[in-house]
Order: sequence, then structure tokens, then C-alpha cells
Amino acid sequence: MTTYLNGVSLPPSKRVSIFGGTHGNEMTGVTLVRQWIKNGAEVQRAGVLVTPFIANPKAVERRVRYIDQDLNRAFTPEILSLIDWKDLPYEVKQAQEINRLFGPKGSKDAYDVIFDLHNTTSNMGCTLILENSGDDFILQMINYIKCTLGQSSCHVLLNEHPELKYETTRSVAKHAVGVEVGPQPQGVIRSDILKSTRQILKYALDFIQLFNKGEEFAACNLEVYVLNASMDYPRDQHGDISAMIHPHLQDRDWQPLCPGDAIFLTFDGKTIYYEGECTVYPTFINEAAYYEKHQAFVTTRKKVLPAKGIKISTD
Amino acid sequence: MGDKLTKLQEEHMASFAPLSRVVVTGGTHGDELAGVYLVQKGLVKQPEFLHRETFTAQAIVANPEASRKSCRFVDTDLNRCFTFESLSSSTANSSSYEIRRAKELNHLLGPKGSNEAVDFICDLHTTTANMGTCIIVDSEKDYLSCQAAHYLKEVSTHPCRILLMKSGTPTFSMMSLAKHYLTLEIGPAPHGVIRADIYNTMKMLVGHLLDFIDQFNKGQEFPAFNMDCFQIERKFDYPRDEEGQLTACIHPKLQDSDFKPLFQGDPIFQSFVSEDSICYEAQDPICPIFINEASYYSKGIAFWGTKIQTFEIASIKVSI
Repeated sequence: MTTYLNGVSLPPSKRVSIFGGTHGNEMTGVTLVRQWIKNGAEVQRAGVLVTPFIANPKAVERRVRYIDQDLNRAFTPEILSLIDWKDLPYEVKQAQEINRLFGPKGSKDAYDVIFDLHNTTSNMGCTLILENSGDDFILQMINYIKCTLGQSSCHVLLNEHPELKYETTRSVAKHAVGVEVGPQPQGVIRSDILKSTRQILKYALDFIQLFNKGEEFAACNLEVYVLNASMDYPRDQHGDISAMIHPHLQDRDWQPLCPGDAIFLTFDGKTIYYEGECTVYPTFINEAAYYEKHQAFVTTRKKVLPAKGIKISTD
Repeated sequence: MGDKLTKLQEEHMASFAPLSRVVVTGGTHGDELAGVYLVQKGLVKQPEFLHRETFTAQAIVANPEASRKSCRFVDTDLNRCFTFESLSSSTANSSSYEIRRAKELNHLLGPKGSNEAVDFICDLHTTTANMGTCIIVDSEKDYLSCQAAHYLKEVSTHPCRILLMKSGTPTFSMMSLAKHYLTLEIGPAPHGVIRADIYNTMKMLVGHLLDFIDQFNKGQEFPAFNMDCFQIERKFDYPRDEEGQLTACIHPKLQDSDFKPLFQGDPIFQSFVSEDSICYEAQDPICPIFINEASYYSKGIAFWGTKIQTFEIASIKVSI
């Protein structure tokens, strides 16, 4: 990366992958990637190798989130370097294989971009998940998508939280984008969700092609939601949940949550209120897969991130 | 048919003994959390909710192992294990958790078809389909269950529809252990998720059902009526390739349109490849339900087609 008068020069993105089925029951990615493996014309762009890939084939076959452990938490240095002197869990082996094919993570040989397609039971609409606030290339890509589809077409979730950040499947690449679209039940394919995801991918790939051809993207600002905290369900002395997401919070992802607002309803009808200090923006409200992770919803704060201008480097 | 009742209907009244053994079951499918939680956390912890003057209902989790794991089933769908054939099959099948559990439930709540069977079962389910509140009964000849369904439909603040199984289908569901029974099926809800609105609707309807049974036991007569319902006719599968993989999904115009009539030429599926529409071809209109239910992909069902039917249901009164 070098700077030029108006921003930074970056190398072209030549190797891009689209992952589906990191979670085997999140059907949009599974469906689209299966389709593109058969016929990849829709996702091909001149000068770019675009590889559609089913990340967790066994989980996809069984239509479950994972076999032994969550693949999307398995890309830690410790897990990636485990040696097979004993039977390793399926997802550990798969993570190492993905690291071999698309990484190694952190090296110059890693893929340039990975799009990881997910669904959620939460009412999040189209959400792009960012792991690095300094990744001008991805910030500019997201800005391009939002300018083309409309500012309200998607939300941007930034996870740089020291405790809540996790090592995702896509983190193997130099640039990682999570594409999270909901609400969709696990195991279900909704045509409207399929269409939205397809559109986001289309403009993301168009952006890469335009960038590679030499188009310059001027400095811009991007509104993001910064991950702030995780809220668990109230639980009883046995650790079982003792309340549900309150009807006033259910489906209200991205809408302001103020101190004193209702967040949970116990099974015998009592309301529990939000006791934070300021207005936050909740999301991942009532995601099915997060009950076992002890997460009822997360809170975020709005922030405007500056993105430097970018153009392809001629080195 | 309208509201005009036949002379036969006016003269005929069905009498039944008081209902004393009443059971509410949740978690027949372990990932349909409204039923699981209503039983485990609602009813068990508020026993007064189950108590009426003439009886106290029991609440049980039908599939405890699947409920513990929050999955539909462990080995096989429990809600298909209650045909007479399955219940009387030899222990060679007992490697299946659900087949063993079905026999346990038959011992506890049945035996199915006998005088010792419990009087009433209300089985609690949710669906990913946009079916709203639906009451499922097996047969229009079970006047007591149909009257219960009608009562719920009348008192509910939410619109309710009555779904009737296809004529002549051997009964297979958990609820069929009892002498009389119905299922509450509410959607849309993702599996593995508890929605407070659905939980509250389910709880309210269970309360109304127990009120109905109590009123019946006390001698209230429930008059004859014409039951408008949706009766199951046939299933429709997704278009698939030679490997059995889907090549299309539910069309956006059909998605979430449960119970709305489908006419010849209406789109039902949308191809993944071309986004072309595949249309309903039959001449007779049909009302689709269970549109895009998650657990039906593996059963080869994209939706069920139903027809609107009306049946005369006799008046009922308790026999002393």
C-alpha cells in the first residue's frame, strides 16, 4: 500500500472467493454457491478468479449449523496449528483445509477477498459485517454498494470488540466481508432473501472489477454500527432461560433502544427493562443459533468511519 | 351450505362422558419452542393455570430428548409414530428413540383406541409457514373435538382457521392417542426460536380450551353448527434435479400466502438459475398451506393443497 495525493494505492484483487454453508442450515449461501459451482457465469468478472465454495459440506449435507463445533469460530492460530495426532473435530480439519486452500491466514499468498454468505433469524435485513475499520478497500466497496442500491439497502456492522470479536472463516483472506441477510428461518430458502443477497454480491464484484480496471474511488464517509456489548437472556439457577425477547424489542433490529425500554418478558408476564446508560442500536435480536452462545441480542453505537480514497497501484 | 342446518342436525345431539383426563403436550418436535417453553416454564410453574372446577389438566413434554437438544427429533419424527401399526410393532425397531418414546406415551396416555386412553390431548406446534393460528382436527366425525376447535375460533382475538386431515388417512400423530384431540399450529416462527407473541397466543388458546372443557363438563350444551374448514387434499414438492437437489424455491407471490386460493396459471416456484416462474397447472383452485415449512424439505413437501369444505357438526352435551 502506498499513498498518493488523494488516498492510498492498493494492489488489484485477483483472487476472490464466495463461501456458502459456513453454517450448513443457512440456506441462501448454500443455494447460491451450489448454483454458481454448476454455472458460475453470474459471478465471473474479467481478470478476477472468482471461486464459489461450500465451506462446511458435512453440515450442509445434514442441514445443521455444524457437526462438532462452529466453523465460524475456528480460525484461531491455536486451532489452525493443531496437529492430527488424535482424532480432530470435523470443523478443525475443515478450517485447516480452508486455510490451506485460501490462506494461509495473514500471509501474502492468501486470497484477496472472501465473501461469506450467512442468514439470520433476526430481522436484520441486509447487513455487511466488517472486521477491520482501517480496511479502506472494503469500506469503499460497501460505500459503492450503498450508493448503487440505496443508503437504506444495508446496514454495516463493525466488530472490533476486544472480547466479542471472533476468528471467522472469511478472516483467512486479506479482505473479509460477512454478508448476513435475514430474517430467514434455518433450513428455509426464501426467494426475497435470495434476490437481496444476489444483488449485493453483484455490486460487490462489479466494484472489484471497476477498481482493477483503474477506477479511482474518492475519500468518503460510511455510517457503521459498532459492536458494543452482548446481552444474555435472564436465566434461572439451573442456567435455563427465564424470559423471552419482549414483543416491543422483537424484530426491531437497528432501531434505537433507550434506557427504560422493555427488553425481556418473563414466562409469567413480567417485563424487564434496559438499564444501559445511553441509547444504543440493538441487532441480532433473537438469533436461533445464539441461544447456546448466551446471546439474546447485541448492542451497537452509531459511528461515521472515514474511508481514504483508493486506486489501483501501478507497481 | 350457509347457516341453514338440516333437520337431522337439529334433532341429533352427541353425548359424551365428562372429560377428566386432559393433557397439554409441547415439544412433540423439540425445536418448536413455544410449546416446549409453555409446558416447561409456563404451565409447570403456574399449576393454577391448568386447574378448573371440574378437572386439572396435565402438561408434559412429549419428546424430552429432542427438546433438550432443541432439534426436531433424535432418530425419527415422533409425530409420525402413532399409527396402530407402529405402536404394536415388535421391539426390533426400538433402536429409534422416538419409536420407544411413542410406546411409552401410548402406555402413559393410551392405549390408543381404548377406554383407558386420556380424554383430551392438546398438542402444541409452531411452523415456519405464515399460517397464523391454525387448529388441526383429524375427523369431522369427532364432534367434540370439532366443537372445541369452533369454540377457540369464536373466542380468539386472533383469526383462527380449522384444518382438517384428508379423509381416510390412518391417524398417525401424537394427539391421536386420546379419545378427543386437536393440535394448535401457530406461525410463522423459526425453529429454535421463542417468540413472545406466539407464546402468548398459544397460552391464551390453551386457557380457552380448558375453559371449554370445564363448561362442557358442567353441562353446557354446545349447539350444532356448520364447520367451515380447510381440508387437506394433496402435497406439492419442489422441482428437483436428478440428484434430488432443489432447482427452484417458493415463488415470491406464493411465499407467505398461506390459505389464499391458487388458480390455474398462478406462479408457485421460481427457478434458481433463470428466475423463471413455474405455475400451478391444475384447473381446480386450491388453498396452499404449510408454504415453505423448514422441516418439510426432507419430506418432499413445498406446500400442502387444501380445499374449503363445510361439515355439519352435531350439538354436544355431557352425559351424566
